[in-house]
Amino acid sequence: MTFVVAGLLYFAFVNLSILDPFEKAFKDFKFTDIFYSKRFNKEQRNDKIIIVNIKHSDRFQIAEAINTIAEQNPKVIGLDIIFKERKQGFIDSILKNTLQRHKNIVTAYFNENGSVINNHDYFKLKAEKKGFINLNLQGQNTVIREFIGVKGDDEKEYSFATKIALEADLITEEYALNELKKAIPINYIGNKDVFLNFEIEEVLNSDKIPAFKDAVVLLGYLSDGNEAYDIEDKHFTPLNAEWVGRATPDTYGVVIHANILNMLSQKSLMYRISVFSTYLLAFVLCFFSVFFGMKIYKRNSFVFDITEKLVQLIISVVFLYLALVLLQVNIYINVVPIILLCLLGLEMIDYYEHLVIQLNKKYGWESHLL
Amino acid sequence: MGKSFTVILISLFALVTNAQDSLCVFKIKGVALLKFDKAKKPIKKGDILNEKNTVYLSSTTNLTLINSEGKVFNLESTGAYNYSSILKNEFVENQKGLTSRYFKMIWKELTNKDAGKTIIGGVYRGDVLMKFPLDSARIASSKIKLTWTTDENISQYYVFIRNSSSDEVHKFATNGNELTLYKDNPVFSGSKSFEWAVSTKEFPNLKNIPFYSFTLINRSEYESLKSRFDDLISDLEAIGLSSLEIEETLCNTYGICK
Repeated sequence: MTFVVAGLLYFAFVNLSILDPFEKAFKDFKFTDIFYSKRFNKEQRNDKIIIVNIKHSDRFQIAEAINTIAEQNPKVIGLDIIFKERKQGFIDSILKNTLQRHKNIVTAYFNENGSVINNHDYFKLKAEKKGFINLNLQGQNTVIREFIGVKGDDEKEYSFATKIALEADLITEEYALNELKKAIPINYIGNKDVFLNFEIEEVLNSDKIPAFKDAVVLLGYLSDGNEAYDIEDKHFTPLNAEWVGRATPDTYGVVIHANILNMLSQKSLMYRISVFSTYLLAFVLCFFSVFFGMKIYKRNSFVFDITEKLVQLIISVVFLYLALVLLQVNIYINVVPIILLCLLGLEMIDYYEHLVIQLNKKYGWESHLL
Repeated sequence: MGKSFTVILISLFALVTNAQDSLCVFKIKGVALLKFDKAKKPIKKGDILNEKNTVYLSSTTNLTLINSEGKVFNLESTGAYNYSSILKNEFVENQKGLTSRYFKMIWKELTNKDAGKTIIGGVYRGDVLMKFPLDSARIASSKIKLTWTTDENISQYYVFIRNSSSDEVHKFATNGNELTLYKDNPVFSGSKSFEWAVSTKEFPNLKNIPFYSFTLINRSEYESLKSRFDDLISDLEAIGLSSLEIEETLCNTYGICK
């Protein structure tokens, strides 16, 4: 019965355009975001994935930075940058020469409305290694929680992080094809401070940065000064301190790629419990909560009425806690339907009583519980 | 047989060499030196330390290192650290488990302790930390003591002293609430008028933080300024204040300090 009512409510949510904002708001919100927002995960640092902030440097500075980095023999240099147009002939030729000289560079592109946006043909490399930097998935709202590593059946497209992980031998192609074709929750370890990061000036002014050796170096944008007010290439992720309601974007795109790369390098992929299993679990737990709720209701409806809200609160707190414990061991479960159905089930016990009375009058149907 | 043995030996040697752990400099605030092969050089972010290195830390320096497992080591006390003593300084974050942090958060939500975040519709660039000397103070002392308000959550403060004539800025990092400088300090050469500011940020936008000004004066200028307050001084003497207390009052109220 609870499932039918919940289904009707959901149907109304999905189909009534007036309720669209509610549906969208619910998509923006996930209980499990608390895990990352409040930093319940174990603190980690990573010096094998290094981020270089290119700020608003020109192509000459970027080319020089790539050369300096390449001299230190990193495993892979990932360019989270698109050189869409040609600008100055001489400077562009320097950049082109740099991109051609170093064979361990992975470039970026993205798909937009069916077309591919990538580097200008002038910068195209022979046997170019490139990955898509699209972060939004179908059905996913503005919060970046999941990613797809491999797209397409015949012509495979790899995401930027996946391509880098393949080039750096952090994963195998077989692993990528088997594990990364479906949407996977991103196992965030933190924002830019958990990765070793450098400003482009630090790179240009150094003869040698030993940490670059055998590391994966990502060049991307991490603000050009006043970070708190800079939202260029900054996105909403579960790391946002405000886990519900409106806030400012929290994480730069290159840091999201770094988190995905960290997850791939440590093979710490999230196992997502299927929708069927989630709803099956929700059904079982809802059944038991309604069952025990009815028992209390039958014994003493006054006690039930005064304890109902408290029990609902305890159920929410405990179920959310269990979901976070599972998340800690890389198991992701969508706990919202489980909590909502249990709460709704308890809320509807009064209506069940009326229904039982009506059914009893009409058909002589008797309930063992009410 | 001989060749295989050599290959195995080389492989084993390579394995042992690779197994030797090293530490990567993850973050550095202040100045630290790295000793290697009897030479010393300043430590920079991204440097790799091994068992042969020794680290020298000056005061107010904070050095964060990580090993290949991502373990964090934090050094903040002055001294020399060899590799094994660095490893004794492992920094353990988030010691409390998920359960305790989760239920603490729930308790805060229930008791509304996290509420009350102030939202304003205007421009406000933070509190002025400077306490003493007052803005536009005139100081006749050979010792200039700057004091400011501290916050228990902030350990490092940056004091900026700007020469009003040349706009030259000197920066000092300190972990306390005061900084004393003497008049013969090169900071005070070439001018008598200065501005000072205290910030919790190492690189604040100096155009966007409030500065207090002060002027260095000599004894006769001080006496001349003091004489303008003769009536007030008489009243203060009448209520029993000593000359030292009167000078303190003039300094704290009118910014005329001896």
